Amino acid sequence: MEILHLNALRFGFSTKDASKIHSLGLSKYISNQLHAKIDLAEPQFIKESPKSLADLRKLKQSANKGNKELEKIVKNLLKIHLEWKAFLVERFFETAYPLREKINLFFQNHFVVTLQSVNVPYWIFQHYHTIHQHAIGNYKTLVKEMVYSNAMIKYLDNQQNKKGKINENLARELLELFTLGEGNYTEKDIKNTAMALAGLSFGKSKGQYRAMLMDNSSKIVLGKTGNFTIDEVIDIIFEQKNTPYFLAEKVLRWFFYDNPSHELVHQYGNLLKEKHFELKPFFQEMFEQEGKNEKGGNQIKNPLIYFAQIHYDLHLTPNYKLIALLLKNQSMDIYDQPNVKGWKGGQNWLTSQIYADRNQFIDFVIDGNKQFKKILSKKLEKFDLGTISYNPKLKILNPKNAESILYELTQKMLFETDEDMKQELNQLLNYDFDPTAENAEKSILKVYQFLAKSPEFQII
Amino acid sequence: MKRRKFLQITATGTGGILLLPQFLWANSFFGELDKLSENKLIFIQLNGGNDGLNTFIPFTDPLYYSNRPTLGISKDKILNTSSGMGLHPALKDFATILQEGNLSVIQNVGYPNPNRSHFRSQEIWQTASDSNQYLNYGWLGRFLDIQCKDENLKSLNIDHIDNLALKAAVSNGITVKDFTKIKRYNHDDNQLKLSDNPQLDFVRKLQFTSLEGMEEINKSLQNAEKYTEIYANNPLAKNLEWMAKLIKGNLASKVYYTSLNGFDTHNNQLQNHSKQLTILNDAVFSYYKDMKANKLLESVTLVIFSEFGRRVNQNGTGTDHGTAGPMFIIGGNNKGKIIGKNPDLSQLDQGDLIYDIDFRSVYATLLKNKYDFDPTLINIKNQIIKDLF
Repeated sequence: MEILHLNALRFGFSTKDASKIHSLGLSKYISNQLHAKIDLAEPQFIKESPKSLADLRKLKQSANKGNKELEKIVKNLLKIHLEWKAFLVERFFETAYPLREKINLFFQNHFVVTLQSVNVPYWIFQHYHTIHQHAIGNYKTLVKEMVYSNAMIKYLDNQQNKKGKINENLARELLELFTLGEGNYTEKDIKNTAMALAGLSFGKSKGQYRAMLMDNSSKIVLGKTGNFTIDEVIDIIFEQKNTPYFLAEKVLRWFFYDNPSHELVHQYGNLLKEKHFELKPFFQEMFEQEGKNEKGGNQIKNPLIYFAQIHYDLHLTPNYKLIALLLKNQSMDIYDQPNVKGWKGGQNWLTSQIYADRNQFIDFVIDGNKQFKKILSKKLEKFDLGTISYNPKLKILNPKNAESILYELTQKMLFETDEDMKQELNQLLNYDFDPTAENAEKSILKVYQFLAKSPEFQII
Repeated sequence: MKRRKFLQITATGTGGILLLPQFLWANSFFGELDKLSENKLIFIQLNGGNDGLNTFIPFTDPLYYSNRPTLGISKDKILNTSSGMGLHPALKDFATILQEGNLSVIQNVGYPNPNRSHFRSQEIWQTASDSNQYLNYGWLGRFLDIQCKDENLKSLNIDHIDNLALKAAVSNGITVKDFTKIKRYNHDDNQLKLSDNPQLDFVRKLQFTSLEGMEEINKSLQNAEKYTEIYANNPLAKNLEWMAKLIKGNLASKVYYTSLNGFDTHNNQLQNHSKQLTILNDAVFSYYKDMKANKLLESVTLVIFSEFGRRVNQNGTGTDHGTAGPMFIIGGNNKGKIIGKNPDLSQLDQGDLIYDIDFRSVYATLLKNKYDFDPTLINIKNQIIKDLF
């Protein structure tokens, strides 16, 4: 695979930006992405939705008992969930700054909250908005903001965390999943961190402490003693050895390697520490450095990239809600991770079922299988998603002959093309293939279909 | 962990069946109760354009030798000579099959306005279209869409790429690259290493189990485990061996397809062609013995064809793309005849043979005779060949 395409996939969701990376150069491209001012306005459907749990309760109570009004309200809320997922998918597909959205999604998967469990779409919007604001700022600030997120408080039950009745959920994840990683703290540290979080509950735009429920006793966290606020606890956490390495490893996994080496984790952990957890220079340096690595084949492609890439390549008109559902089917349900650990990535992205579903999708797009069409139509109807009409078009820049076509497609789609693959492709598109023949376009689409179903295409 | 899981997935479906006494599944005594006695078609597509004139040879025609001064096969080497035609020496076991009355040769098969591009001519053969017509679905795919309602797995293609002939609007077929690997994935619980890239290995292994119809295939492979016919050692033989195994293991699929490359003999034809025909001969004869021994020869019809023949006049050490050529039918209760006129080397069109029998007549005959299927339903209107079955 040509490195421009490889980098477009690493830093975005499809190969769309390959030409931009080419014209700007990698360093400038990354810097442009990281410095852009990008709007994230509150979408209309969020404006119209309940703003808090209290609002939600009121809305549900307003329904007359006995008739179907409540059912309707619940159904409507679920519709908003899907609209939110589709809203994000659209951003991922359409943005001129895919790297920024990819960083946002990385942090969303790092600070997991789910629509299903939070149930207040407005809080979910705020959660994403906060990430968007701080994702290229300071990591410590972002962690502090996340702890105060209404969605996070709800997702990890901190509203139940009160003096004398400590709930450790948020404290545990703060240490285990947000900053230090397992093995770098004790159960006592969790307990004392939880004490610092006691009384932190929902507020208007972010969480607020209820003075009555706070625990003002002295705490011992990671060897330090004092009546710490949660902000002070987080300061202590950021003095710990493992904090920068923990994040560096996860970033490497999200953007580059399913199995990053210890050396690499060490190198970029050091970098993050050196930059005092400032994310922009950290990302800039890591992305520039690793973007020079011409060798692909290090990362199983996640479903989002899989669908975005195919939509882009084949000029398909996206139905974002349907894509959100397809993503769910591929176990990448946006803002509805299966648990607090988030999507694990790597080999977890693929099972034989998921692989079969991917192949079925591409077969449908290119051949139009009738059975699959039935399944899709049912889905579209059930969720009121409108219609789809796939009319795949593949642009070949250099359609001189079979060789030039195969070269172009493999360079764009596969991280490597071994001898077996070359032979198979030559069998598929014989050397005497006529690119001007009446059905040439169909035949080239068949090559795309074949490549999209190959194991190599499932890997970046 | 993951790996263990998918191995479990592939293992499903083999249960139940194994509890039954083995003889139930092997014995054609019960043939009428199961799928064993149902007619099956196997196709071998010779890729590249097989030189028909050097395969089934008009050795009594002096024009053959004058057009092929260095490539002509000398008369004394030609096998099973009768009525002016005989087989290439590499096809020694085809000669046996012919003598046993189980091989029919259909001569001069082609189509009007022949296209000499591999790509296009294969497409024409696979879709059964006219030479200026473009169809989206394969002829076998269209047939299976109408004929097969229940079977989960309608067709099996053992090849590296999907075959257009099997492409259907509804019916799912399956393309399997390498059964040997599947078998190993299913039985070895060790970490099989295919490449230096663990992620790629992981996905490649998944690829096999993600194929729809894998369950049926595994079931049939289990059923067929007790059969141990010995096949020749070449890739085509391997493919035929797997097909035969699956058929013996009671796989419901009606249509099987595979291909053999290497027939585009522009250079060094004498050697290359002989090598490919030897592979074909050995593979087909292994298969033939197997089918005969297991009393399946009558129900399974093997069809061998190529997208075109080659130019009559040799060009250097090879031959150029041509038009008509012979087709071979083995088993399926064929009459064991040589059908059609011998190639007419005096009447050529731009140096190429003029076809005599349309390939779609062969298709029509297969569908009508084996499945009592009306070929006009898939828009094949050519005449049935009377002497084939």
